[in-house]
Amino acid sequence: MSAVTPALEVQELVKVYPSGVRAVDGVSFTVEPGEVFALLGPNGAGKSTTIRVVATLLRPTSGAVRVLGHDVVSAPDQARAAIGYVPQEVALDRHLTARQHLELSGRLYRVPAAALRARVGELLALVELTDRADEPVKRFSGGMKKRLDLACGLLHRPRLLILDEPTVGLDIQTRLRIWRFVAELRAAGTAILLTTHDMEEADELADRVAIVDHGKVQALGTAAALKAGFGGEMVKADLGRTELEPAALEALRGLEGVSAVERRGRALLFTTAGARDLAPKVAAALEARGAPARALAFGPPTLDDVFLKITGHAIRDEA
Amino acid sequence: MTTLLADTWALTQRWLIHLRRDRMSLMLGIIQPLILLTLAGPLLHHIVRDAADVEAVRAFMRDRFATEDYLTFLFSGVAVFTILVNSVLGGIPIVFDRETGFMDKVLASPISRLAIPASRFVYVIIYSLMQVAIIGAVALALGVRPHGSALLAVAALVGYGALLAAGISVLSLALAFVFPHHSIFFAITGFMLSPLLILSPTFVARDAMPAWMQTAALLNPMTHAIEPIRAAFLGADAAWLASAGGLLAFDAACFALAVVVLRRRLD
Repeated sequence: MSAVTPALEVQELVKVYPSGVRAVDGVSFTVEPGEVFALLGPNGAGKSTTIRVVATLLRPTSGAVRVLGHDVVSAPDQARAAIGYVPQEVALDRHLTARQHLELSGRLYRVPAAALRARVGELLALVELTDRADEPVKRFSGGMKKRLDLACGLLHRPRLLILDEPTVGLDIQTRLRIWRFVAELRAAGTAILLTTHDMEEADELADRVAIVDHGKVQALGTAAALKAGFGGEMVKADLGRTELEPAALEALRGLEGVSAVERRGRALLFTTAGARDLAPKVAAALEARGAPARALAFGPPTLDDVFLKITGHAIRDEA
Repeated sequence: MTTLLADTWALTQRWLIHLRRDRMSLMLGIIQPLILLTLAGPLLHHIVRDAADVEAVRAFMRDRFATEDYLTFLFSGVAVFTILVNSVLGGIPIVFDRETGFMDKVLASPISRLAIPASRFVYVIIYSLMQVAIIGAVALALGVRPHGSALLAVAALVGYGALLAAGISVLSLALAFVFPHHSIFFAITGFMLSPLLILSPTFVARDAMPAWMQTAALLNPMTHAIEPIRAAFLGADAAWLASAGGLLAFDAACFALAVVVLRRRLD
């Protein structure tokens, strides 16, 4: 055990719903202060259930969850005070203004009245809503609402911020803005637990990633370590709508340096030790078989590739 | 205790912002009670006036209704009905908060769980008293007068009204946590209102009801708010303590039920 109390400890967490569904089946991980930790997995993998247990919205069936050392079952109020929870769906009250939302959040977390005013101003500035502070949120765009929702989760300066799918359905600009906020908070020492089924997001933001599927952690580590554990590089050839004969696929499998080939949607994926050398050979072989590649990419594996190898299915299959 | 009060006030402020943004529903909410007051009142007056034996009807009124002043009799019932409707519908914002996920944000915060029903209760009382004040002004214009102390009448209205509102609004809140969608909530609460109204002494005194209906009315919490409030308005005597005790027992039962429902929601 480290000298510093972890921001979050999840030990052998099991959650079985009254319906009998075993949503989380023995999940363990630790988030250190100042660390961004991503739970990556398809919908239904158990990410949201895990997060709801951490946020004290669901009682665990067994296992232990501690937030800054406070057990979520025996000391829920201490755990709650340390957590900032931003749900996946923007949850705002259409009648309240941005400022009223922040004031309400402050009171929910019992922020002293003396400090509240200054913090509301700071957070409005942080999420760039100062000039719209006194408008009811029903007039806000989706991106503005998401930024406000995030600010509501930050008002009491939580030590652990929970972001459930923070950028789903948002425009690129808002997405990049939220990524920037996350980086700033991390730099300021806030631990962040986020769920996502966006590989790029996990890759970009997270110090460590847990790949979750069927209620279990299938792999856990830094994105670099997970990719290194993949055992090779990738060549991807986009075939468009062109079909490939089984015999042709067999021939490609026999190319020198190829350790595996598989079809994923419209693409052919080759696993190899040396992607740079293999790429031109793949291009030539496809050309010769009358199925020229529309696009060709090569390099180290992405988290997508890692996910596929570990779980045996692509993340979008169930998403 | 001070924490609970601060938490309750924090949440109540949100409901008061709703009220400021949506004054229309406050006014729409008094239409039905005003219709009851202005239509049912003259209807009975007409029956009494045209009765073959007016004296016999008056004697019947004095005997069973404890007054000849039907309008004042009716007003106390209508005022309680207004409180009842607001209490029954008290869970609505919670239904919507559950649908939008706002409730999760509240429940993820360390705010006292008790502050959620308490804030709705405080709001229902404030909202109902504003409506009853407007209805009262109309009633005054129609000739309704307290026969005894006006202060006592208002105190009885607030006190017994609050005892009724507490249980019903907690019950409504529990329903808000049980039903997955607002349409079911509206269907259930809509179907509850008319039997509660008819099986209460709002229009007809309990003594003038058929025996089975008297029993049903005794089981209706509305009865135990209407009867003492009415007695205070008519300057008559009532089973003050028995009514208060009955309402308190009802409140306790609603509260216990709500606790069980909310506990199960976390599993």
